[in-house]
Amino acid sequence: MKIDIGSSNKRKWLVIIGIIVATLIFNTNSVSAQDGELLFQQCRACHSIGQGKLLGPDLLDVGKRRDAVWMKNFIKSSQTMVKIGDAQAVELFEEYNKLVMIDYNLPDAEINAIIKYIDSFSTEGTDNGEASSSAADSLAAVYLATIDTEGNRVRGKEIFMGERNLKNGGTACISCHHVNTSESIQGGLLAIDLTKSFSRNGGLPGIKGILEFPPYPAMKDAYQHAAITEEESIQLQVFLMHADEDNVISESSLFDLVKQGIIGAMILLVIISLVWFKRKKRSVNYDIIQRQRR
Amino acid sequence: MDIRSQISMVFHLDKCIGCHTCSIACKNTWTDRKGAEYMWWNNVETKPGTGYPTKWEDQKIYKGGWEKKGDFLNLKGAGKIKGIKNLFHNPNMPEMDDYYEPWTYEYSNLFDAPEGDDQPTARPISLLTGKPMDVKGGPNWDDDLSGTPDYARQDVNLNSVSQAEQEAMFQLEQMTMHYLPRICNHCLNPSCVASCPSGAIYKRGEDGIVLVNQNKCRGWRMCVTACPYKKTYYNWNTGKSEKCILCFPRLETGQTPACMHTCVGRIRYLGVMLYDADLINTVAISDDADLVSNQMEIYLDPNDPKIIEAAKKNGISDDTLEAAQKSPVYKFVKEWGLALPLHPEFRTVPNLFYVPPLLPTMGKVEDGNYHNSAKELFGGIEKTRLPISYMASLFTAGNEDTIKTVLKKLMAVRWYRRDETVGDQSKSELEVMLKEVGVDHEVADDIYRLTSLPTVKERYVIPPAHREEALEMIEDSGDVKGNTGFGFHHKPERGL
Repeated sequence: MKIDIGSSNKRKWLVIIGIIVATLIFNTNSVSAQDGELLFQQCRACHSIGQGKLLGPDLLDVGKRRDAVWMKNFIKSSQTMVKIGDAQAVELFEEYNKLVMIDYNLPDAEINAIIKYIDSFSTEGTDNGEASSSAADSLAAVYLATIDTEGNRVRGKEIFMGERNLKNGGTACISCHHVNTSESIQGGLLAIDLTKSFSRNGGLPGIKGILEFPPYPAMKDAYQHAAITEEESIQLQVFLMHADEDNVISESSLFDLVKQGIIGAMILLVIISLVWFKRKKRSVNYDIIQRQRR
Repeated sequence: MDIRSQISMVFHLDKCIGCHTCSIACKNTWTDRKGAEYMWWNNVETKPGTGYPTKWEDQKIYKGGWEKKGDFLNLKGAGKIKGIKNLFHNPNMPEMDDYYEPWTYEYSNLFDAPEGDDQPTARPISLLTGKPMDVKGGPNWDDDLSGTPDYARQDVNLNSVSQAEQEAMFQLEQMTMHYLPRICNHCLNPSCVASCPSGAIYKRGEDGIVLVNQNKCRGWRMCVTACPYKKTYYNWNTGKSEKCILCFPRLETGQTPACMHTCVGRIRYLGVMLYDADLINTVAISDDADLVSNQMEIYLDPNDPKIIEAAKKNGISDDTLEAAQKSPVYKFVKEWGLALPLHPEFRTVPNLFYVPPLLPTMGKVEDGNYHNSAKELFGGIEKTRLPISYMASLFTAGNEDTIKTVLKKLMAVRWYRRDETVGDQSKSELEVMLKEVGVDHEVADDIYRLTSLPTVKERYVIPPAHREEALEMIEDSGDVKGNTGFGFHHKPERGL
């Protein structure tokens, strides 16, 4: 028996493939502004819209400040632009303590959606700049006072060290990170040392953003299905804040270190010279040989 | 009873003429190499004198040997705690000036010098720097200088000699000296072995020769500190320590060691001694006064059937037993009691014995006049030019009775032989002397014969080597040594 795979069959396959491809293209193009809100979640770690600076700049009215193409390129690879020497990019990079914005190789449509979403927050309420920021400061102080408790710090430490499980089953921070405190053991070396993360990432909001919407690929993957809850996030923030404060190396403490080092060395030298006082200090023949050399 | 065999030596100091032929033979055979220039596995010292390395006998300086603490023996300058303390800086070792800076002469200049008004000379050239140098000292720098303030009067053994005796000793007409040839003592309780952190030094099972395993040696140099006789040396080129090997390759082929083979005065005797290893600890912790007599107890009579049986049980071969029975060392040390260990107070139980020199006792000063022979019995042994206390410090850890007994025996034999050959001595006095030291005519003859007329085969009784049965070929001696240290088995790339 002969199976006939005719030309009509071939044509049929082509049509199906064409439909699938077309659907895919259509789909990618059909990302809507509604999706922008969802997509923006991954930006929240570092950026806010109208709530002030986090790790990166406040993106309110960014559309008015920056050219759309420039923004697209910057999102795709900020470092490339810095390397090329784009004046604006370099300026931004310098302004934000050379903190690298990681590359988001998103399709144009998604980037457009994000920009559209940002644009949807218009600038009607920009008049209350100074007042609102000072009000926000006092609000932040009150907020800090409420969360900055010893209980939270200890909980945060326990979570970090893995002594207490994360609610959603995430991996303990210590698996990859190290924090230098008197209570912690040596942590993992897979990711960056978090001892100074509080000051490096611009305080609580920065850490909060990273914890709740991890921007780093490895961390993003790790917590994709095991998000850190808000409560845990607060506890970790408090813990990291204290770890940072406890690890301040000021100029005076550096000077103390040198001073103590010198004093310690002198004490050691005295002890050594006492313990080994009766050692053989020179050749038995020293006098005879010295006399001959004269 | 744990009977083992040990190759031991006797050096008859009355016969040593101080010619250094032994040293040269050893040098040419073993230490004529880069890094070993300064080493003298065999050296000859003038006594009184400071020796090589300078003042080696003074353990306050060099911290060698064992010290007794209650019922325990501790290494004086090495061991686990002291070793770690001094691991990277060990000031107790002799330094280059304590040995000497080795040199050669620029012989080529004698042939190649350009034509000039002066005779070309061969300048001394340092073997370390390769540059011309002024020689300030050498391994026998005080050779024959028995009266010099720098050397003879610095002799460590003079500490046990009273001030008055010292003054008498260094009066011009009393000036005396004797030679002291030294090699490794191949001790029964070797402090070098105990001190080695790498477990590189070991005492050969079948003949007791102490060797440094050059593959295991890490050059920590603890042995240099620990050996009270300063007979281990550090080779700066190979980074390993070396010592007298008693010419074991020669012994294994039935030849005498190079130093003994070449000895002009025929002062050296070599033979097997059987000893009881169970007693080593007892001997080593005895009181100073008993050290020599207790050490004599450790050596066993190779003719005693019980001893022979026990020795065979312990794997000592018939050849070795036969050699032990003929051993001249056994005769001198045990049978006749004439030979004594050098500085037994270091408690290493050395196996090189010395027949103390009798010659200086032959002269003495009376009423300001020098007499070359004394009238009373034993020729005024106690008025000898070398004080008894000095000899006791060298050979008996301060026990003067032991050294006196030995000297009296030697003197009695000498009188006996004078009577035999010249016949001018009073027979009755001679008999009193012989009786007092417990030597009959037959023994006196034997002593005389082995002292003056021995053949090569009588002086050196070398047991056939049984290398095929050597312990270290079957198992790693490092494994059975116990707590010897930090353990490295393979050498790092270094030197050579």
